[in-house]
Amino acid sequence: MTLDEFVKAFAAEFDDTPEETFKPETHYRELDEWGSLVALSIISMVDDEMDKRVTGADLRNCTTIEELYNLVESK
Amino acid sequence: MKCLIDNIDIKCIATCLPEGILEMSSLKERFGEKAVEDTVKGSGIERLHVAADHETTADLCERAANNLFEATGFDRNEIDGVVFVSQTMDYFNPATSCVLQGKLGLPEECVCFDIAYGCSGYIYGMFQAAVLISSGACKNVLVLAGDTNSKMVDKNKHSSLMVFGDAGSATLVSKGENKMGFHICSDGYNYQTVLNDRMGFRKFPENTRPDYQPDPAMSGDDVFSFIVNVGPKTIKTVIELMGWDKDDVDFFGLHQATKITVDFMRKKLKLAHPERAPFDIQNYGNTGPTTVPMVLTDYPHRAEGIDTSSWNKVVMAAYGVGLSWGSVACDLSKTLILKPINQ
Repeated sequence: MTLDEFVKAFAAEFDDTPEETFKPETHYRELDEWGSLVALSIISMVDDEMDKRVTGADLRNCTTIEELYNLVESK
Repeated sequence: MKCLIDNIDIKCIATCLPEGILEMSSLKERFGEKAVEDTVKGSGIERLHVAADHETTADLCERAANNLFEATGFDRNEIDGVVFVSQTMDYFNPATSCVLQGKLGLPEECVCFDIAYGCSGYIYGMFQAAVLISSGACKNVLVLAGDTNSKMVDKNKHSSLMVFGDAGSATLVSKGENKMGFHICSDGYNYQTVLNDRMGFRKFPENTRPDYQPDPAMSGDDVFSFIVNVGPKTIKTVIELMGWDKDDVDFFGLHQATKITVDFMRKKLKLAHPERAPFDIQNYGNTGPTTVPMVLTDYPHRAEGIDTSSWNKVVMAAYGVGLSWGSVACDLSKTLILKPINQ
């Protein structure tokens, strides 16, 4: 999965935040909709789409979507 | 492992909560208002039913079973199998299933055994009952699933004290006419994710000392990752196995670790009728292997307008210690579903 595809898949897990909000440099934990339910959905999306496991701690330790993408790719 | 087993009926499901109640709001002075409110917000749990010191899981299952026999009029002498699913057995030995066979007045021509599983345990109990009947060994199996989690949790940690409650259940599984689907998986590679080494012999004799510090139990993040990774897949697998469509399922009896995990399953499965997969543990908490039968019995007797005779297609799914997880698909439309004792 490319970074652009990851950003799109990441955005798709949000119900209310417009897709154009999401860029590689977006600080995702600062988004209004960010919360436990979205975090679980991201963990599940990464498992489904990339067959990799991320944890809640991983999501808390990254700031931007690109950082998270790089972390997942390194696993 | 997945399989279909024919000619099985679930005749009755009964549950029993202990009388004791712990209100989460009563813990604010001890743990702080914000910590309690944040935990309740995430868990959705407002109160727990908590067993008294002298009250065991077997006692709660016994009460549920007696209620089942009274409500159905089923002859106890027809029971030829007992499966007790719990991590809080009466004794290290003998098996609690044997103790309960005697207490319930069941016949000697009866195979009894214990299954030591937690949150996923009801799935294992139902599978074991169906296999015993399908093999021809038994005709009527009593599945007794329960836990008194409040006796195992660290009472100094609000995050666990405020989630785990106590309950027992009894389910009568008999030779019949319906098809059941099962999907069951294990991940012993990650057994440490949920671990209690205060009992057992791996840490003996250190764990018998009063000052023993157990390995840290329950890494919350790892547990959540586990649930989100396996939950939707096992639900989809059993639905596919039965040849059903997810939106035709009449009821989802999902294990309820916290409100967020149930909300997640509903979102992930994109259910056309999300109300068919309710969050239900606000009044009693995560009761381990009893959570699924508690949802199946508490919800229809609490919510308005629920007619369980329409539950032709029911999916149960649970995930927990082991790591272990699985799902069951079955017909509960003719099942007698009793109101929980002390609801």
